[in-house]
Amino acid sequence: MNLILLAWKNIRHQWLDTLLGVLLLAFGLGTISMLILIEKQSSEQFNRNIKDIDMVLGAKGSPLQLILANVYHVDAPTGNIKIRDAKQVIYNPTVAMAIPLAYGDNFQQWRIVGTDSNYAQHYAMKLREGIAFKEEYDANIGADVAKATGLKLGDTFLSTHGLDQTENDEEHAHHHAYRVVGIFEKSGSVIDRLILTPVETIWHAHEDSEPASTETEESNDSTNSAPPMIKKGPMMMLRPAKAMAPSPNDNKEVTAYLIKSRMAMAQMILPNLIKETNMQLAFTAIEVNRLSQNFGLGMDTVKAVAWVIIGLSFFSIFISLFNSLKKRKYELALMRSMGASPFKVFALIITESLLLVSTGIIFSWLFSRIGLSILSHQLNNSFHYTMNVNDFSIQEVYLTIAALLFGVIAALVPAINAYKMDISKTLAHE
Amino acid sequence: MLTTKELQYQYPRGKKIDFPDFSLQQGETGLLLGESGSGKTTLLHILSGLRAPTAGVVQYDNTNLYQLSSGQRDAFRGKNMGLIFQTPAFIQSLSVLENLMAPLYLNHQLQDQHKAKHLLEKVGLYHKINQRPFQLSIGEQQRVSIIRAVIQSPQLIFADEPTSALDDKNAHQVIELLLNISAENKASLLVVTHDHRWSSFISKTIRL
Repeated sequence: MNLILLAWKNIRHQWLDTLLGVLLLAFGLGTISMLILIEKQSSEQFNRNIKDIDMVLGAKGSPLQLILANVYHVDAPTGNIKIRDAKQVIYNPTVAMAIPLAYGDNFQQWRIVGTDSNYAQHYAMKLREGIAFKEEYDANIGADVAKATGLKLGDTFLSTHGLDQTENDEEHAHHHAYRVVGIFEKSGSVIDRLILTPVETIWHAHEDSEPASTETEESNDSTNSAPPMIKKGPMMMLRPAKAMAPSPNDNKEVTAYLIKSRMAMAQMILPNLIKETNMQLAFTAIEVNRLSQNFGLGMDTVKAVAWVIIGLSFFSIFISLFNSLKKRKYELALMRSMGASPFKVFALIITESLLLVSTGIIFSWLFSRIGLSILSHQLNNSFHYTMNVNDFSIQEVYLTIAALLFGVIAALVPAINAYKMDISKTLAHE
Repeated sequence: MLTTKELQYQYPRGKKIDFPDFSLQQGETGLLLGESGSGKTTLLHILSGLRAPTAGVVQYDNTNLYQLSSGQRDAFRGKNMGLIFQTPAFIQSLSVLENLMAPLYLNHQLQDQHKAKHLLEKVGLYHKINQRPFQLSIGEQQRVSIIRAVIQSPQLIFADEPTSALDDKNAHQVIELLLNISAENKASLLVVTHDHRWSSFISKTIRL
């Protein structure tokens, strides 16, 4: 026998009295723990995916939607923009880099994104197998896509029009097959969940289904090349004349450009350039901050409720220990009469409280992981996003220590009463 | 071995009692007799270090009980005294055997189960070893509480009305057990009672 075993047996003997407190504690701590992990993982995801992207240029609509659709790929795009219109922004000297994104098709609900090699380079993607796409209908697939679809190097697949139609949707299926030429290593970025292909693939895939443009474009070099992309380079204060000149792709459309600015001034200059167009520039910092605030408000509300539940649980534990002390007063006096020091009975009450709190903590971990697992499943179904159920935050350690401290505090009054108990009076039933 | 001198107790809002001086040698048995309210239980608590007297001395060989600190007195009681109460009381969450081990644990002694099992066998309760105390009859409970009192081989056993709640058959079993067990352990036994069934077994009496 030892103190912990004795305390545990006492708890088990009156488990019904303490069950409510433990369950409330498990629920409260579990909710807080789950929110901590959601905040941590979503923040990591946000930061990883936003990676130096300052702005997104796309069709007018909700700026937040533009960011969510093009940076995180969790929302529908706001529409398409013409390359001709975008040129005045992407060739502006204040822009260091602009990566084109064109999408609207999927394979088994995994988004197919037309882009150029800079997209993968920007996220420092490494190919696990194969080579980077070169030709139309070449596909580089993310690690999550490869795992979920079972696609291997050299496999071919047909895309489906839209972002959420299934592969059996014959009506919306395209008939030109993509070929997997490369599979990326897992990176933790949004590209894990995307199928990348040259942007020309997207244009060609939709040429049959969309009416040809009535506008004719004059071109001084007539190659059907990729959409303009500005790379990092020495600062230019003047627009390169050649880049701004008409090209055969000017009338083509992309969904958005991910833009990295060269200087802070870009945020003031660029919006003025597109005032009269159907385009908008969404600033990632502002929109993510807004999203965090809205998201945070909801999280804070749930957290506040969880803290109230935790408070109630400690009150419940206090009440159950207090009642238990009243019931077991004679028993504790008996222990004292057998030679137990006042400190031993004090320690017994504190240990019982710590065991109750520890039980609550264990159940809270279980609860938070089950909650996270359910959330992860739902996110995966909706957005192909997953949460790491085995993740762990240092804040959970602080939460655990705080819970144990509160457990000691909740037990202090009953424990002090037990410490100061008049054994003689109790045994004599005075 | 046990000697008292000029013991006095003043109840907080009541009378003052002067207790007679007496002594109890090693292995000696004695009856503490008195009317209800005469202070028998109070004296027993004073002798066992549970309640400090207003004045006077409780001496165990060379140890003055009330010159010890509270913690030392608890340890002294745990090591040298076995207490039996009128109503048998137990730690309800523990089995019979675990209850018998409790004094050993509380006094930091080796939790050897052999003696407990042997004594339970002797009183015919071995088969109840894993039962909870509330599953025993009152007579069985009192026998178990006697075993618990002697499990550490104390030099002194104090019994407070140990048979008053028992019928004749159970009372005789308990009297016999207490006398035998204290004799086997060479322990002094002081029984507080107004139960006349004890008078034929113990000759030394202290009257309050």
